[in-house]
Order: sequence, then C-alpha cells, then structure tokens
Amino acid sequence: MSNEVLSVKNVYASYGDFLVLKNVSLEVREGEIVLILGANGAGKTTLLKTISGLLRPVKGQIYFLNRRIDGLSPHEIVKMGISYVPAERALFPLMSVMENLEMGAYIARARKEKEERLQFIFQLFPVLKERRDQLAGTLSGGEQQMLAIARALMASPKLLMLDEPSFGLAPKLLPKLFKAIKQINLEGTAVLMVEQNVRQTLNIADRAYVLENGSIVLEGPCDKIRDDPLIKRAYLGI
Amino acid sequence: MLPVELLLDGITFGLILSLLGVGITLIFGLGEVLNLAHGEFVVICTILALMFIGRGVDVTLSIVLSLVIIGLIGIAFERLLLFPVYREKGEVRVLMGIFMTYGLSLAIHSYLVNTFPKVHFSVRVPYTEIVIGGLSIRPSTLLAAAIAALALIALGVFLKKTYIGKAIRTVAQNEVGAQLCGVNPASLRTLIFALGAVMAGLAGILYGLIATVTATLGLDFTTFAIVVAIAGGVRSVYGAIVSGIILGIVHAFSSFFLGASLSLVIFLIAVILIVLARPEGVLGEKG
Amino acid sequence: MRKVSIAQKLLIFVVIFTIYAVLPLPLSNPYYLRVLNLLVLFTLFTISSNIIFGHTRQLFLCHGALIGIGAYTSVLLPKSLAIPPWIVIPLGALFSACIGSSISTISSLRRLSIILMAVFTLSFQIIFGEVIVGLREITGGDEGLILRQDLVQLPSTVNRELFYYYVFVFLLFVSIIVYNRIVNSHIGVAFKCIVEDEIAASSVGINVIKYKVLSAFIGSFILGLAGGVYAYYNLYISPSLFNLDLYILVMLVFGGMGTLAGPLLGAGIFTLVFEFLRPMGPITTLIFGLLLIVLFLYFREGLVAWLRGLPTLYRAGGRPSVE
Repeated sequence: MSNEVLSVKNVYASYGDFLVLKNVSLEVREGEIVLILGANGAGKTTLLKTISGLLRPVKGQIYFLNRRIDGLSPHEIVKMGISYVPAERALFPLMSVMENLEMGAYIARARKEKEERLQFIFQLFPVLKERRDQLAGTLSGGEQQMLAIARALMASPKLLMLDEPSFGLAPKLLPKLFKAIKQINLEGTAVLMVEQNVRQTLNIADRAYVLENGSIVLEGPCDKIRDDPLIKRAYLGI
Repeated sequence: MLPVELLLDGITFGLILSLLGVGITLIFGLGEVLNLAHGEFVVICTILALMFIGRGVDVTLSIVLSLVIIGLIGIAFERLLLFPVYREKGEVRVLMGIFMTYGLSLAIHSYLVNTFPKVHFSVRVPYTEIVIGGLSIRPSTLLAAAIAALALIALGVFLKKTYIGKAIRTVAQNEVGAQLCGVNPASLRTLIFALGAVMAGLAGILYGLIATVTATLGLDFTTFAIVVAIAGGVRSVYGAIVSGIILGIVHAFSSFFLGASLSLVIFLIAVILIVLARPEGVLGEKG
Repeated sequence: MRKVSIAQKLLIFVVIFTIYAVLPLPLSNPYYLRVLNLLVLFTLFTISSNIIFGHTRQLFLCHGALIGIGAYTSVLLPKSLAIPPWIVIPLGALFSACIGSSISTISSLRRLSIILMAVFTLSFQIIFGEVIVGLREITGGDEGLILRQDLVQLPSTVNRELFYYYVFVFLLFVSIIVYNRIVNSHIGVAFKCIVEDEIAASSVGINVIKYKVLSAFIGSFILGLAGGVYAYYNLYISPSLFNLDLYILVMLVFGGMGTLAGPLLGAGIFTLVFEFLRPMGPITTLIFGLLLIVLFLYFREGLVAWLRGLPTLYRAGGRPSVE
C-alpha cells in the first residue's frame, strides 16, 4: 500500500450520457511502468483523462501519493506531480520548441529546476535541442511526440501518463521512443501508458491491465500475462 | 487641414481604436466570448473619473483610480456573469456569450443614459497648439497617441516576454495543453477581462483628450471595438493593433471629407467587406 | 416523440384560432386592444425569428431592420409611384425577403461563424438606422414619417383597432399554417438535420445553403409583411421603432426555439410583461437586458420544453438519473 503512487478505486466515468468506464480499479507503484491495453473504444483514453482531471468520475475515488485527486482541476493535478501527454499531444503550434518546453516548467516547483530539466531532455531527445527555435507546428510527427513528452517532463512529474505515444510514428523510431521511456522511468518517474503496440511495450513494462468495454478483464505482471488469449484479443481488437 | 495633420489625427484615433480592439481580441481569444458590453466599460470609466474629479480629487489621481476600479468591475463582471457561459463549450458558448453580453450592454446602456444624461468627459491640456515646421499639432493629440502607443507596447512586451503573458497565449492556442502545463485558464480569463476593461477605460480617457465622451457613446465604442478586432482577425493581437490604426486613418479622412455619420456607415461597410473578403481578418488567424 | 394524429392537430389549430379570434371581444378599451395588436405583431416577429434562428441557427441581429425595410418600402413606394398600399405591402415584404436571403446567402457562402454573422447582421441593423436618418428628405430621418392615408377607409362605426387586430390575426394564421406545413415537410426534416450537424447534413446530400436561404426568405418575408401593415396601423414610423431584436430574441428563447407554441407563448407573455413595465420608462430596456441573461442562465430550453417536462416530473417523482 505504502509504495503506491497512484490508486484508482472503483471508478465510473462517462462521456456525455454514455457510461464508458465501469468499476475500474488499478494501481501504479513507485518506479513501475504500467501498461493499459485494449481495443479502440475500450475506454483507455477516458481513463487517463479522468485521472488527469480533464474528466470527472461519476463514482469512485482516485488517490495520488495518498491524497484524493478526483474532482480536482487539471492544473492542480499537474502541480501535485502528474503529467499527462494526451494522444493529440496538445502542443502550442505557434510557439517555438523552446517556448513549449518553458511552458512545461510553468508551475513554481519546476521553474527552479528548469535548466537541469532542459539538460536532461536535450540529452534524451537531441533533435529538440537542434530545433529549439523552430515553431512546434512545423515539426514532424515523431518530433512533436518527443516534444510533447519532453514538455510533460519539464514539470518533474512523479507520474507520467502517456496516451499512445507510438501513434503515427514511423516504426523505426519506436525502439528509440521506448528506450527513452525506459530511461525516464529509471530516472525515477513512474509511467502509466496506454498503448496499441502491445509486443514492444510488454517488453519494457512491469505490469499491464487489459480494458474491455470499460472494465478491467485482465491484470498482472507482463511476463506472466504475455501469452494470455485476452492479450491477443486486445491486440487484434476482436 | 493638411493631409499630414489628418493623418496624425487618424493615427491617434486609430491607436485608441487599437486599445479597444485588443481587449475584444484577447477576451475572445481566451474565452470565446464576444464582449458586446465592451463600450460600456469605456463610458463607466470616464464617469468614474468625473465622479472623483467632482469630489475634488486631483485629475491624474482620479484617472488612475477610475482605471483601477474599472479593472475591478471587469473582474466582478467576469466572475459573476460569465461563469455560466464558460460552462458550455463550442458554439453554444459563443451564442451564450453573445446573448449575455448583448443583454448586459443594453441594460447598462439604458441605465447610464438615464442616470447620467448630461455627462461630458473631456480633458484639457494647457497648450492648445504647437507649430512644427508648418504643421499645427495639438499637444493633446500627441499625448493621447503617446500614451496609447506606450500602453500597446507594454501589452506586447507582457504577452511576449513574461511567463503569465506566455501562459495567456498558450490558453488561446490550446487550452487543454495549457491546463496540462499547470496553467489555470479560468484565472487567466479573469485577468484578461480585467486587462481588457482597463484598456477600454484608458481608451475612453484618451478619447476625452481628442473629443468628448458622453453616456450614449457606449454602443458606438462597442461597435468600433468589435469592428477593429474582427478586421484584425478576431484572434490576433497584432492584427487588432494594425487594423485599429488603419481604420482610424480611414475614419479621419472619411469624416473630414464626408461628415461623421456617413463615415460611420462607410466604416461599417468597410468592415463588412473585410469580413466577407477575408473572414480570417486582415492578417489572418494568429495566436 | 408523441405522435399526434391529424384529428388532434386539427383540433389544436381550431382551438388556437378560436382563442385568438375571441380574445378582443370582451375588451372595449382601445388601450387594451392596442396591447393585443402589439401582442399579435410580436408573435409574428417571433415566428419569423423561430424560422430563421430556431430552425436553421442563423443568428440574425437585424430583424428590426428587415421589419423596418418592409415598413418604409410600403410607405415610401406609394408616394413616388401611384400604387395602392395593398400591392405595395407585399412588395415591401418581398424586398425584405430578398435582403434577408441575400444576407443568408452571403453568410453561408462565406461560411461565416456565428460571431461573424452576429457582427455582420448587427452592422446591417446599424447601417439601416443610419441610412434612414441620413436620407432624411425622403424618409423623415430621426423624426419619422407620419402617414396621411390609411390602408382602408373604414366607416366610422368600425373600431379601427379591432379591424387591424383581425388583419394581424389573419396574417398570424397564415404564418402558423405556413410554418406548420414547412416544419412537417421534407424541409422541416432538412432543418432538423442542419440544426443537429451541418456537416453531417451536407454529407447526406442536404443542400444546406439552399435550406438556410429558404428559411431566411420565408422568415424575412413575414417580417417585411408585418412591418408593412404595421406602418399603416401605427400611421407613424421612425428608425427608433425598429430596434426590436433584443425583445424578439427574449421572446423566442423564453417561449422555446423550434416549436410552434414557443413563439406564441413567448411573445404573448412578454408583450404583456413589456406593457406592464412600460410605465417605468427607460428602465424597461434594463430589465429586458437582465431578463435575457437570467433566461439564458436558467431557462434556455424555453417554456414549451419546461411544460413538456412537467408530466415526467409528476409521474416519476423526480428527474431520471444516471445509474
């Protein structure tokens, strides 16, 4: 219990009138990479949005570092230490890479560490350093993804949530991306990741949950559940 | 009147228009609310200034106080009246914003016209005229232009260089992204509204330097403000500034040659044409 | 949606018509009759607004101008050309309809957003006022025009207010029938689709622009027609009489957009409210402005929707909730 960073308990969430998440519970422990898998429409994005505060759960509780966060606004949750990179990335297209990164360090806590974090990020994603003055809207898909993750890291989060980071990226970039995520994790940030790319991510993650029609149907350590038929269903979406 | 003198008058009026337009642009850019009550803030501020001056307070201090108070009124307005508008999203929010501010503007306008029918606000500067190289220039015009320009430059610096200014721009470009950086869009929207109100108030004060503000002018000021903002591409601050200056010059020349009321019509027609020709505005959509 | 049978519909119409027909009979005081006339007039305006805004979401802030165009045309045209007012009033309505549909066409073709459309039509309304004032030799400017010739030379035994009441009610009946036919035809279906999702509508083959322009045409025609008759009824027109958009919008929103009863109820109730507030003088605008706000806050769906919801409240003992 005590080394739980994030604890989602019996959460129900809806999108408009439609109940998307039904009685979802999960945990992320310190130092873990946890995966959320499932077919399209299973509710994976809704789950992350609910944790980040962009959506409010209809029922249930969410705890972060033993403090209740369901019902808080997104910016308050960021201040507490969760950074979320949505599938659509939400970058500022008319601002430069550097300005986007600076905005990532908007919260007071992060402004002090800005220089250090920039160093870390430039070492992780050297291409961002090269293109620091370029407008974010003119970057390629892969570079935008890296910028989005980098911006989230500027806040020195204890938990980083990623929604399909591999989406739209050229396949040859994926190993680099997942290596970077592993490195971020080793540096001390817990990671909660939604992914379609099951095979590669099962290799780097510690545990996984499978979401189907809004409910958790499988959970466990990655090497144990790797061959479970439910995983194949999640992978192929059948 | 020499064309150059007209030009200077036009630029001065244009800078005042820019102050008005920029407020609309910022409020719309951040909250998708078209503030149809903007012109009333102009009038309220000048009335406040007059009330202080009437009680014997020094003119400069009165002006400063009235600007502060109009800012506070802007905050109250935004918090109390606009939060139901922000609860909605997209087209419904825009509609609600229009209706809310429309209703408010008419309510405030009728109240002001009724309660202060004889109010005239205008500021006199000691010297009436200085002559430079054959041009006759009124110091009041120069002063108004200088203050307006300074205010606009200060705004530009604020938006470009300060953290809060950048946060404001991020909310306009991608509100979700801004929230995920820890930015609180609601408090920034309030700040921007207050800022818009103060600039509107300042516009009124400066207008008092070159002409007179009366209680009935609220709707006119709103019209000008919206027209300038839209011509500038309703989300672009630089667009609002540029279009303000251009429209000010257009107005000065058309007023001089065609008379004031016809020039208002021309103004409106010009804006309709701009809206139709380039719905994105003179400079195109920008952050 | 409850299915209403033809017989039930017919009954509803007969009831509505009867109510309007007998309303003025117990009243002898000309003041009350005048209030009734304004009531029917505003109902006409609100029905038009319902067609234009309620059914195709075109935010016209220039209803007043369209009414005024009908009014001024039907007054000025007979002066210069020797055409009897009977013919000119429909011509004026046609003129309004052309202008209204032009505005709609331009806005739709340029894909103006609601904001731009609001600004566009608001500018048009202002320009209308300025043009009337500017052309004062022809239009009487700010001071307005006094009409010397009535529509019909009535024998002195006939109550003028009553006569005009029935003229207006006749127009109202026609408008209601037209409205009902449109809404229950394929046009009405197209309207529903457009309100839901314009892009989806056009992707299933609905010519969105055509239907929007059509709704603007019909709505503006009614506005112009009402304006024309109003001019002769009032025997006086001036630009300040035509700043009506605030009231029309309040009546429409309060009554319920997109319904038949909405404009009837909204205009009916609010004309009475307006008359009640009139002694307070200019504060009326203040109150209406505040009303618009409060309405939009708490009563956006309108009276009709609220009334429809009452039986559910009664039956279930409360609003249904998410399990």
